[in-house]
Amino acid sequence: MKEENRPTELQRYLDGEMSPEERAAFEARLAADPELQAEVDLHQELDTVLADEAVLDFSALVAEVVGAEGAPQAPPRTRRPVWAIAAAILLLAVVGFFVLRPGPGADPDQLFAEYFSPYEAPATFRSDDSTLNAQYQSAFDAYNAGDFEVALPAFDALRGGESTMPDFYYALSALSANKSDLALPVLRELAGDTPHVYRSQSRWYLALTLLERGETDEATERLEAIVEDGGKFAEPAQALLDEL
Amino acid sequence: MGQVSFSDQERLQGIRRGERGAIESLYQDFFDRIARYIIQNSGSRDHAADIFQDAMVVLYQKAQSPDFQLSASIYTYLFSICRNLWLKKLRKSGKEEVTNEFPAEYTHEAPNDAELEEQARFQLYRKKFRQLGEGCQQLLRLSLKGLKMKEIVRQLGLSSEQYARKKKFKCKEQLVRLVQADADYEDLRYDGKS
Repeated sequence: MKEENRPTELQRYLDGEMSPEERAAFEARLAADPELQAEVDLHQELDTVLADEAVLDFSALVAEVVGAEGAPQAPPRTRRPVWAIAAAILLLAVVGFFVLRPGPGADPDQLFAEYFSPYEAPATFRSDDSTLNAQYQSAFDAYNAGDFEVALPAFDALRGGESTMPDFYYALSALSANKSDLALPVLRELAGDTPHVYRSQSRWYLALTLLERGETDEATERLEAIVEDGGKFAEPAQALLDEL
Repeated sequence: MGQVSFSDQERLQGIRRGERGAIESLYQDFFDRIARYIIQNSGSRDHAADIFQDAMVVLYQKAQSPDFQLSASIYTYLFSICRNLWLKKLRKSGKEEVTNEFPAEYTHEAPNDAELEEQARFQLYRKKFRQLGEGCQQLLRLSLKGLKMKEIVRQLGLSSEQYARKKKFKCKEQLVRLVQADADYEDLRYDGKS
């Protein structure tokens, strides 16, 4: 064993690798040294607390949500290659030369592609019902793997209960699988006046769905309402309105 | 005391399952009101963000119990945890709540001092854990899951079990130092007597 990899006394004690004699001697030292005892206690308490991965993950998720305060991120933009930008400029110049009229604004399809990204889903799902657990888990696994054609019927099968979660992820799966016709009625329902956990998210995705379907006027109205309401989606909604 | 609405139940279910949507919904709807209370009582918006995070974890852990039921609105419950956490912090810094009366939104059923003391300390550990490098976090997670060193070496592509063991301990030591260096740690430290 390399010298630098040799375990320290404290490490060997914590890992239970001491002989009974060594252990007794170390514990006698602990009894006489409150600082060393406090360090051992801290090591052991850290092990207990951090072993609960579910709480650790939840705490990290809360920090992420709260940390994003005041800085709602616009969805990541697709970087266009330089040649595409150059081609677009040339095309604009040619079109502008022949047709001198105000431009139609950005292409809604292109804007949808830039602003849409599937809403984050939990990596693990837990409830008291083990059958339901397994169904949700396989739906989320497919969704998180980007296999939306599989996720779509899996979430559909879970719809109809009290929770709006399967409806929301069903709509998102449909939208991600280029089936906005399936997503639209569900998102309209979820974006209504009844308060629920996914309402503000549904309003944002409804505006994007309308945009994708070329219903630009209603999409604009919906985006303006999101900006007015404030919250996480107000900033990307304003950015999208500016581009529209 | 407010009534539990369908929406509150759904939010609670969402929190129980660790859903991001539920966290965002509580944050968007209630954070400003909680921050206002903390700012009125000698705190800042950053303090409020810390307290809110701690309170959400307390709520998550409470929600895991099958017997847990909201007897007030979820806002009242969350606000009450935040208030108790903040008062505990105020007392330790020798300050007092500006208003002596209970705020209109408050439930005595929210966890109080002894329980919150421990939770605040555990939250500090989790925060410090997130400050470790990605490699240390992965190694400690796998180790605490009870994986054998041989498997950890394989999963993380480390050079040897001895090296993995040493690295694990170094990571733990780094975490211990981060915790000990935090200004709040001395106040939260468990003295083994309480």
